[in-house]
Amino acid sequence: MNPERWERMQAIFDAAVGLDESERTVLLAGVCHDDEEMLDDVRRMVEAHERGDSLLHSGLPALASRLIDGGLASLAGREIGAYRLVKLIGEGGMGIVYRAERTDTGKQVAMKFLLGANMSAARRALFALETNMHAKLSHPCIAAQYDAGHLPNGTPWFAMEYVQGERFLEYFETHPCPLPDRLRIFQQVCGALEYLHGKGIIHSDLKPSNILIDESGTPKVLDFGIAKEFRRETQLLPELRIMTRGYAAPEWQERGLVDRSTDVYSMGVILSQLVTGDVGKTRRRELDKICGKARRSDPAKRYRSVEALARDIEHFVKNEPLEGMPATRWYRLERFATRRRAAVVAGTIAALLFAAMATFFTVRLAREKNAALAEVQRTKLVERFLFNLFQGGDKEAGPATEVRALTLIGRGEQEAKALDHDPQLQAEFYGVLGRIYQQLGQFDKADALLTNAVNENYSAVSLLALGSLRLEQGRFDDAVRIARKTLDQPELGELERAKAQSLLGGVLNAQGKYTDAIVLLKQAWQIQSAHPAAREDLAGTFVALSDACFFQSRHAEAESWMQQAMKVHQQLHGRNHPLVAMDWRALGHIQVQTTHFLEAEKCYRAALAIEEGWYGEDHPETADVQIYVAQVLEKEGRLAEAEPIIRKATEEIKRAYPEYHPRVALALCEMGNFLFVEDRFAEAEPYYKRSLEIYGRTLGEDHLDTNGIRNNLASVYLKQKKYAEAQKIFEQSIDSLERTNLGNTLNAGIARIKLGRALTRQGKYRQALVQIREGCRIVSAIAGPNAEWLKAIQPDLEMINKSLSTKTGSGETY
Amino acid sequence: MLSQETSLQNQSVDERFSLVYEELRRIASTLRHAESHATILSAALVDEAWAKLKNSPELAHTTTGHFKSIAANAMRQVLVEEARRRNAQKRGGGHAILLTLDDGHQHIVPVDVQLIDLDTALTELQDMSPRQAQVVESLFFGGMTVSEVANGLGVSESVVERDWRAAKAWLATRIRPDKE
Repeated sequence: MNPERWERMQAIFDAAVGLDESERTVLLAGVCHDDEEMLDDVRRMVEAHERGDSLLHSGLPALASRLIDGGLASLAGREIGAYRLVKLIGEGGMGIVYRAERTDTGKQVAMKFLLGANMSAARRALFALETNMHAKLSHPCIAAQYDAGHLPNGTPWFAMEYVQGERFLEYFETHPCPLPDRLRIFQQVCGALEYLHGKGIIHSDLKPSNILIDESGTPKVLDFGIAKEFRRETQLLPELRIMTRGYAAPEWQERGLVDRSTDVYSMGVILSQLVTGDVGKTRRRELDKICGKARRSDPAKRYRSVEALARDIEHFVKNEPLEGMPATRWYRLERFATRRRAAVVAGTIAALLFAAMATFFTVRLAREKNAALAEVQRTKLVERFLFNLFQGGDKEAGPATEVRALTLIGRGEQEAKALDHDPQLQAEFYGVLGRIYQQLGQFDKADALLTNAVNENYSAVSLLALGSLRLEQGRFDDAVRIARKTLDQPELGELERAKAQSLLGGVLNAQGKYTDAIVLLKQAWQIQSAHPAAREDLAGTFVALSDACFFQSRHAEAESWMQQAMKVHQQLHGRNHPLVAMDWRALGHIQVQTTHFLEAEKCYRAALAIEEGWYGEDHPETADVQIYVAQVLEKEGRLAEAEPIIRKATEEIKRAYPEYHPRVALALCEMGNFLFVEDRFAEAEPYYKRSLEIYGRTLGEDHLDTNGIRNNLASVYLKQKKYAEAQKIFEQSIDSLERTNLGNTLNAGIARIKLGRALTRQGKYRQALVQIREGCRIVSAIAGPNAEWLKAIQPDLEMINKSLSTKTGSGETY
Repeated sequence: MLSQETSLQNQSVDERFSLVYEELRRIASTLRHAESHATILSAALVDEAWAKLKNSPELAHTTTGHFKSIAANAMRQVLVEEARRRNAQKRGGGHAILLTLDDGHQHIVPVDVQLIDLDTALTELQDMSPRQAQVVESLFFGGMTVSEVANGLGVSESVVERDWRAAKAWLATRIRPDKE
């Protein structure tokens, strides 16, 4: 570089240094507009200036001591105490670290030496303190100390657990793992810090290089180089304030003040570096909030403790939006009534509570002999409960955050605790809350409360609540068992009987036993339609009936049931409620099946309008319906309109969810479907593949949806004439279905038929015939002899028969 | 480096420099032994050398300030030499300038490498702005104060501060960072 250029660069640097980020960008852009290299160089200079951590900034003493004292490198092989030094593994601000081993057992340790100890009494004292403290600490995430001593010349050392691992952030580069797992590890570090703080020790030099993660994925906090005993305000002399700029809290840097929140700050910085990659917009905002609170410059505004930070992270993790719905090319199942919506409005919680309360109180009412008294009691109790619940909360209208919603319910739990004097009532409250948790998708919490409720109060109501949870959790056997137990109850109320039947019906639906389901559901319907208190249940039964008919291709009936469901939902919740939107969706599906595409489009758009109004536009929850709209537009031949919609929706979903999440798998599947129906098979294949990978990883290899996507993938192979690949996948799918007792479902039947095709095309006629016969048997048993599939397979059967009759047993492949 | 020297005095400059250089080298080498873990404070070191040398005839007409700037340069050379020596020792066989540690997975760019980087960059800086390089040398290696440097160069303190700030930033971009 020539002197003139350097002059110019300096002038720009001098000007840029005093500005804040945005002003600086403007300045640099303006001044260096013709010279990108200069822009780059100046920017790097400014960064270096702000970081302030280069050799020059540390000063000559530090450098020289490292250089000269590093002559300790020659110590390898030397024996010190019970150990033998092996290799220098690190240099730090205050000392150096060696890997060493015990001379007797060979056990690996890390030995740390404090250099320059002779120079400063203060430093020596500090080190002594550190050694002392460390000996008393015992925590799985803190490197243990074994031994301590002095070299002949006075240099102190101590031997500690040798941790083999990677530094905190680098670990995630070599071990990719989804955000919740990363956060769990982060929480473990918080646990170690809580422990330290509990002992009165503040680490005060937390940074990624001080936290290693070993092979088992356990974090270990190291190097309390300058960990301080906990005092209200500690003034540390400037030369002892060895800290890493980026991670050190401002009050620590500037004024030497150290407190528990100092560590909180550092953890906040680390947390913000932890979160990279695809996290959805909403989730990102939440995380930013947490990071922001940890990194406030004013310690008083930060989290008070590492524990508080860890708790907010727990909240965040548990709030993951739940799995989406299964969908394959030929079926869609919208789970009825209890739709998981984490982003439920506070107002809706109140509504849910009221509705739920009303239900169970009404039920209870039936048992009270003195109705009038019960009425008064009920009103008072509900009032007080809700009053306490919402007291002190922000009663804003509009969407509450997930956190707030859960906090409210959590408070409800507290309130319920106060009902110890009446265990039965308490159990019922738990049941109510449990159901609400279920509505919100908090299955763990729901599980805990509802199981508790059942244990405390083995009543039909509690059992049914638990049963419905089990159904939603996919634990069908448990759901069935519970439903049966309920039906066995003596003196079972009518409504409860109906609910149990409805529950069983739901399970049968999910298992593909539609005819049986319909029988039960109709019985439930009879009872429920006569009871004004059971309206919500009735709506649920209608939805289940509609589903059952739908899968039997009885579309007209399916439509009629669904319309009745919507009517009840509208009566209970108004026309613009998500439950109504769900019903619109289902109606849309039915219209699609009967090829009334324009009608279907109307239904889907109606659903979309409600959901956009509810959640806001561009909310990932609306992506579902957007995809349906796109699909139906495609069917109407309006490709140009359809494709951008589905692509956008797919992107929204990918952004909103973590990489390995069933919802993403579903979106990819639908994208694949979209391309499939346009005969763009090669384009569809990677979407299906990826979707399968995700489903397999998240829901498991034998999950219904995983098999669903398998069939899609195999189909696309078929279309591309990749018959061997198709065969493999179909076989996997059938095996899986057999393994999980679903070998007689529609899906299994269709899979066999398609496998038959794949085999036929490869000339494996005998096998093909076996599969096709079995597949047809299953399909006609469920969908009737005129099902589309059976018609489609005719050509194959003909071909097989022809081949088998002409060939005379030689040279056939199996 | 000593830009105001006349050619007449050049010879004696070299002599003076050699003297100081030797002394500093000697002091530094005593610290190389494993037993001694003293931290060098450059000022103390330079003071020690000055105390030793101030009465020698070669340095008869040298002011403290002047001496210090010689010493600063000498110090730089001593340290860089030490760094090169260490670095060469380590090299034997592999190329690893970057000390990647397989055990603790702690990647460190050792200080000797960083110092060599600094030296190289400083030499570059000399070509761009001799005064600035002098400022860096005096402040960093010589342990001089801003006012001493300002006096020595005949400029104001704020000029020295600005020079230092910009030079520090630029040099920092030329030194391989510690991978923290």
